[in-house]
Amino acid sequence: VAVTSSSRPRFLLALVLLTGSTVLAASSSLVPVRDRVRAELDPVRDLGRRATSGVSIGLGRFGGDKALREENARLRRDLDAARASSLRFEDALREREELRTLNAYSELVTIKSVDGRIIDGPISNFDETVEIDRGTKQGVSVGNPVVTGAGLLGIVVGVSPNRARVIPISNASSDVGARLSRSGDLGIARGVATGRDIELDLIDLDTKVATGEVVVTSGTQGSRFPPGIPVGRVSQVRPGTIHQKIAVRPSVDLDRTVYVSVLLWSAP
Amino acid sequence: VRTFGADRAVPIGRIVLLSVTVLVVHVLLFSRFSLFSVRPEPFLLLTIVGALQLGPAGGAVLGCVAGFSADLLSASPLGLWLLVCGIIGLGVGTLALQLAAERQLAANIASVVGCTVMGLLLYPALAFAITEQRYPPPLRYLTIIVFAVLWNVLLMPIFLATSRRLFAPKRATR
Repeated sequence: VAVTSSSRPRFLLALVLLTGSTVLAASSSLVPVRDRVRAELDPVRDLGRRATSGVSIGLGRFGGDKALREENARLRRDLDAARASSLRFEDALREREELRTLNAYSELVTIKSVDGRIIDGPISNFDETVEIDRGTKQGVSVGNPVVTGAGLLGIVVGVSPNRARVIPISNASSDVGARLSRSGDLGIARGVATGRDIELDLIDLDTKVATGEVVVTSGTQGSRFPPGIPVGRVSQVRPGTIHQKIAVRPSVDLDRTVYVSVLLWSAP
Repeated sequence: VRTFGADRAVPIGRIVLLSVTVLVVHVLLFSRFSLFSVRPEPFLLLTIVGALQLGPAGGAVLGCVAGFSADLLSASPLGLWLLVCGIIGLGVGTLALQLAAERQLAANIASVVGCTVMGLLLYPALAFAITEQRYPPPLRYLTIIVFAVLWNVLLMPIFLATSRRLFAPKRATR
């Protein structure tokens, strides 16, 4: 078959589209390949991180004076823990009443966890994951929730022997089953964009919701998170047509977080 | 008139080698460059400057290989960057045949700016169409486009020199 000069770009375009579609169709089966490549590149990434750790210009949150940053991180962790205690206390009061009747038990205290540090940001511009220094060698697996002293940070979406990629709950692709601490109403906390408030959906119009009210994970059947982890506080309430439009300020400030705990827990 | 990227045999070995090199350098270094949390887009840049030398077929192949390398580092489904870079490579390679070599610098800068913007418009559109992945908020999206273009223009001389060395047609000798 002769390919003329005018039909050739069309032929090449069809070839590109066919190749792209084939790879997209096989994308899920190629994920192990991607994980393997990323695992092989981990030492290179560590080398780059060490080489640029003292350079502050243009390196954003991963540059700067190391000792000062370490101290700041420790202080923030302490502050976060104190804030989380307050949030948990509010939720615990309501939960205690509920437990009296349901005779249930919060399983959060029994879950094993691994402590780690956020060591890297995303590699590409449209990716909003962060990387932590714990991986399969420490028992971390895809789907494990990641928390800080302040509350829920996100969920593990990729893992290599010594690293794990975590997608924050404020990311646009993130959904968390959530519960209002006062009314106990269940909803879905949907991310909008990393660093912005979360939208709490499916809360009935007749439910009384106050600004500042604590939102925690619901832990209902099939949930990806155990119950009772602080998600954030209600920052804005507006009436909608079917449900209320509720904005929730995440309890974890990703830009200021260094230390995290990975809960070695997966949805049953 | 001598033109860019006259169509010729596609040096697949060199394309793969260069893409792997850019992958490693990006992980090691470029991903650390950050202005307003925006990093360079080296795989788009490689596709654009390489396609200027290689023409349509070479540009398309380079785009697919470089795009797949970008996919390996992304959290989105594999194949999205492959499609974007493949289309950009083919487009730049086709356009390169029409460009007179006398105005090379202006043509190079215009190609890098225009095609980086096009790639960054195409990627989230495809991601939305195929995986329903939401767009970044408008201000963040605009910041990504502006500063990614800036990074790519700044890195262009290095990529151009390398791609000319690897892909430029050899002059005939007597």
